[in-house]
Amino acid sequence: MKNTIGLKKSDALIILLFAALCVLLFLLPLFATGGNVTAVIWCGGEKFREIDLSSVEESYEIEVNGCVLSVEKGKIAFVSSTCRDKLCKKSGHLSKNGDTAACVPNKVVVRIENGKETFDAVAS
Amino acid sequence: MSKKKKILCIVLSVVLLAAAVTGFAVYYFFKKDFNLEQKSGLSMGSVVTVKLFGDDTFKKLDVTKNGIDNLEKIISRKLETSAVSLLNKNGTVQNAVCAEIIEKCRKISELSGGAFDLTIGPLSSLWNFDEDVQKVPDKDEIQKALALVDYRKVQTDSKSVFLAKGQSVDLGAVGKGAACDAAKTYLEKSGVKGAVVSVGGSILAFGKRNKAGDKWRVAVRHPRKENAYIGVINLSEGFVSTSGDYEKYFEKDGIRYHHILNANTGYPADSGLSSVTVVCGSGLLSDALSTACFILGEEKSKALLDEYSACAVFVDKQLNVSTYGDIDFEKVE
Repeated sequence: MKNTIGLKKSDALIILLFAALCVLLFLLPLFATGGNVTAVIWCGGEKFREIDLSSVEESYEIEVNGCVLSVEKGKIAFVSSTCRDKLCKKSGHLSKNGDTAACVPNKVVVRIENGKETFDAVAS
Repeated sequence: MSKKKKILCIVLSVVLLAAAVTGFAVYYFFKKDFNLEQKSGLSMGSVVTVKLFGDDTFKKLDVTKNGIDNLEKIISRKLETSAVSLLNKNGTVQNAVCAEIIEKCRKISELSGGAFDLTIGPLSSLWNFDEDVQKVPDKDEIQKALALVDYRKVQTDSKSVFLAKGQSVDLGAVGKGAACDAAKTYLEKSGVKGAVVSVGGSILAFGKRNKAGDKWRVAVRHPRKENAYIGVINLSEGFVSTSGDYEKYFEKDGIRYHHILNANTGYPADSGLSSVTVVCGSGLLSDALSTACFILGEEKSKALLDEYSACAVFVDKQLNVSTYGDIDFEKVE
């Protein structure tokens, strides 16, 4: 079957596929930002561990220099600490890019990175 | 397929491919983010996060953080050997950096009519919001401490500071912002294209965010919800600081006693606000102004903000939000 400009159905299909490929190539960079939600744990100024929170299937706890962190799918929180003031526990769950909590006496910092970028910093 | 149609197909394909490649190239060169390196650590009793954008930035992370650590060694009240500790102990100290910071604080103390006062040390020691067990001090104790709080008795020259007998300075209200200033001084010489430095909740947005020159986006913490934001400030460059009644506080008989003390009354400031966020061209000033504005309240703050060409976001106790000055603020609903 031919259309008004005389192309065969198969020719039109090839052109359409090619056009779709071009559009995909054009749009690809727009979707290239963002990624999995990662918790980065710093201890004494050194990076201790990175945890991909998106891939956590079952909750667990880890111990870092006197602090216990609860790791769940998409979020992480301080649950206990040997420090005196326990301010770190008040930080609650961290899940969004840039969320940060710290146990200053035990020198442990947890920060969410790599999540979908919504802002660059938090004034608090 | 006839020759004409083949040519048509080839032309169409070439045009589409050229459009896609051009689009990709335009995006890559004008929109794509710079490389990003980041590091978090502790300094000034807070979390410090340094995010550097550009090429070969990794080596510069530590140097930026070291600049902040070096300032801590000068202005921290918690380090016995710091210039400020020596000043409080001996009544005088010779340190040019310390003298410069204290002179700037003295001027803001004056412009705020003493609501913000750098010599608040005796009062902050009395309330001691860093302790486990917190209590409201006796009225007599507060009056005794207040008698020592007076910025007008502080004398400075280019490298020395002198206090009156019994006085002590507390630069806790400006330390994190001053650390952002120190970071900027280094970044200006470093060749870094863009950077965001957070010292506690004080922020420096420096240089370009990406090749397109998009504005930096700084969220403002919600004063009553953990890990939530009341809005976002978009800015090209500058410093952002927030003072709020939520950071260090305790409650007694239904009253919230927070750490921002009014140097005129001796008690936590009660101006009807739950937080103030200030944007201006200096970290020390944005820190000091946010504290001063929190104490003064929205109306009385405006003249002070004008004096420093600063702008602000006010959140009152009912969580109503208002802005002052030329500020690009998006409220989060």
